[in-house]
Amino acid sequence: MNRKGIVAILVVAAMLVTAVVVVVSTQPSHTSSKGTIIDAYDRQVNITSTPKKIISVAPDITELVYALGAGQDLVGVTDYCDYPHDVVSRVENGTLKSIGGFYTPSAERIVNMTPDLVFVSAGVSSHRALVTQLEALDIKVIGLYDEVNISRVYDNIKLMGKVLDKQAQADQLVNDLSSTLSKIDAKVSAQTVKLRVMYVVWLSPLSVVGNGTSLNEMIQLAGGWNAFGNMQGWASPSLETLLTNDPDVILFSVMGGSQWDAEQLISDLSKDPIWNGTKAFQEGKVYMLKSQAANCFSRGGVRMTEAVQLLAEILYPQAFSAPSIPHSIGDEYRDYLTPLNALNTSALTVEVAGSVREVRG
Amino acid sequence: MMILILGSISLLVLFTLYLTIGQYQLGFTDALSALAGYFGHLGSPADQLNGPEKVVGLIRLPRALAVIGVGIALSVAGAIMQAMIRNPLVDPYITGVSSGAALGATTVMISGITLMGLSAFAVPLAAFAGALLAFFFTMSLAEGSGGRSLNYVLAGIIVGTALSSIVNLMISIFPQDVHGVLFWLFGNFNSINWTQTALILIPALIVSVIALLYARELNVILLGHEQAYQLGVDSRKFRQWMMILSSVLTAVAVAFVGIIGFLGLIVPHIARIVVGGDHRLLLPASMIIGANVLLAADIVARTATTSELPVGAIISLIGAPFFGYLLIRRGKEYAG
Repeated sequence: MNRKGIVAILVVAAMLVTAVVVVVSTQPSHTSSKGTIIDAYDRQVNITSTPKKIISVAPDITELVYALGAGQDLVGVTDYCDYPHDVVSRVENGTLKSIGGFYTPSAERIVNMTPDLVFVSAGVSSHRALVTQLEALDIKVIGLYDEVNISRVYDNIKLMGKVLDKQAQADQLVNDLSSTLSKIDAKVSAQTVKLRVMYVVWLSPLSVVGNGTSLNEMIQLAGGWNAFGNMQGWASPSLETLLTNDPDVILFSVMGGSQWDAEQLISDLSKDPIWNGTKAFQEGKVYMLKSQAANCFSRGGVRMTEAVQLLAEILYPQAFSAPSIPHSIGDEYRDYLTPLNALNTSALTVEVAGSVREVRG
Repeated sequence: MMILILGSISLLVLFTLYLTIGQYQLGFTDALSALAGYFGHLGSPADQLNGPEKVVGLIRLPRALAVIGVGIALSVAGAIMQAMIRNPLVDPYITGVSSGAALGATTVMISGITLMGLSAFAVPLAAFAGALLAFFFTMSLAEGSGGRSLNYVLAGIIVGTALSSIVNLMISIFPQDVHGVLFWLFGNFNSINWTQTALILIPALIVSVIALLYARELNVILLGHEQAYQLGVDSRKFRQWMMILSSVLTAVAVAFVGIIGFLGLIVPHIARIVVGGDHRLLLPASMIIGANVLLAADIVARTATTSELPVGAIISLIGAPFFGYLLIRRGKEYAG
């Protein structure tokens, strides 16, 4: 047999093997049964018993688990999970372990914790590969929806409630959140003038939230108008556009590290003629969100309503009997959330004198 | 020959080390017994395995084999390219394959396309398709302009630059996805499973074996176009065929794990220093050395810090000074 023949056989063999491997690995092997859940990746997952050891691969998932009252069932979280405070103290005393970063969870560590269930987010592209890996390891995984808007947040609450057998708590949580939003809406819809809001995520290049983001929806739910709603996604407007769109209120969000000193930044920018020409700087309505205040905006999830309320109070203080909100808001942001008609607006765990008291569940 | 024996031994050592070290604490004997346990349970469903067996058999074993597969693929591709371009300073990405793969992967990651039942393969498939597409453009451009080695290099630069700039544009228009994209671009073996390992290792081995069958011609081509022709090698057709082989190897390597730079560049050089330029020895030596180097680098990537480092960055970090050293020592020999 000459060389060309050998090569031809080898090439065909390679292609055949590849095709066989692909076909074999994509065979759906589940049959539908009573405990079958369809997750955000459209996978059928069989939950035969209530998961008691849960791993969360995203900070907003951790918060959701706590909100449904299953916080004590968590065994693993990411390095970035820091809310509620119980998470931080449990990581410190070792009862809660880290599985690595947000984009780089370690499958080995997950196996080490022998979880009953792992929650990932369909909004993070690297989690899809993790799902395949964990399936091969025979670890149950549920993908939650990418929270692009509030209705997806509700979907996730209900999905998790179904999975963890906490449907009553889930329905209650959805009710609480939507009733909070209605109360906020009642107060802000009476406003005749919608204020134009600019939410800055990065300074160089200047990046703001545009249309199609969850933050855009939050601005609207707070009764505001996104000054850059004509741009898509995380947009980078030019300084000309900044002047044209002329926001009434500007929010700077510090994600992660505290590389911006609030007062310093605001005073630096106010010396810039273009920034200073905006209505927001002229009227002093410039705010900087840090740590947990920024997180409740950027993570969304169950704290979406807190973010909406905080923003509404910044925009229309006259409609809420709120204390005057400082220009730099951090972990103490909850102090500024006034009770809306004295009904329980948040179903999250509430810290009372350092201990954790679960409001629901 | 010595290098092959030594290399195989060190490969075995590294392989065992690889199975032992990791985030999940295992002793040396535990790892071996877990491996035996895994093979003992082959064929039964995964819930029969205990923790160490899962980690060793389902995470580390496929990953080690995938690393070896990529190491072989990139080293052979690099050796072929260096012979074809007759310049030892080229790497397998010179035909723009890496930019094409990046474009495919970025497109899928940003647009969130899933292919119904094949969603797990969406990114690798797009990366593979992008890689081959880029090579197709390069080859058309190069053949259309004369088909000489220089044409391939220039065409590769054109295609590579064009596709890279599209990737950059996409990243700046959709910055919210930038994290996932960047991590893929750096190259990592984070989420390898058995399916991917099979899809990497089998094609890599088969195509490398095919390349080995042409080792004699690779030697001849180094003598130049006329000499090669007199010795019975149609250099134009041969070049096309070798370029295809090299690009397929590179595409397979890049599709699942991202872009791991420098390996295809420095490994053939190390091999050349050890066994000389005869491709019948150079290709196998490159395979062994490439597997060793990447395995060692991935051990570092997995264990240096608590979070995983991208292995491509680690190789570049080590490769750059080493290559600088090589350049100073041997650079004068490659004039013009």
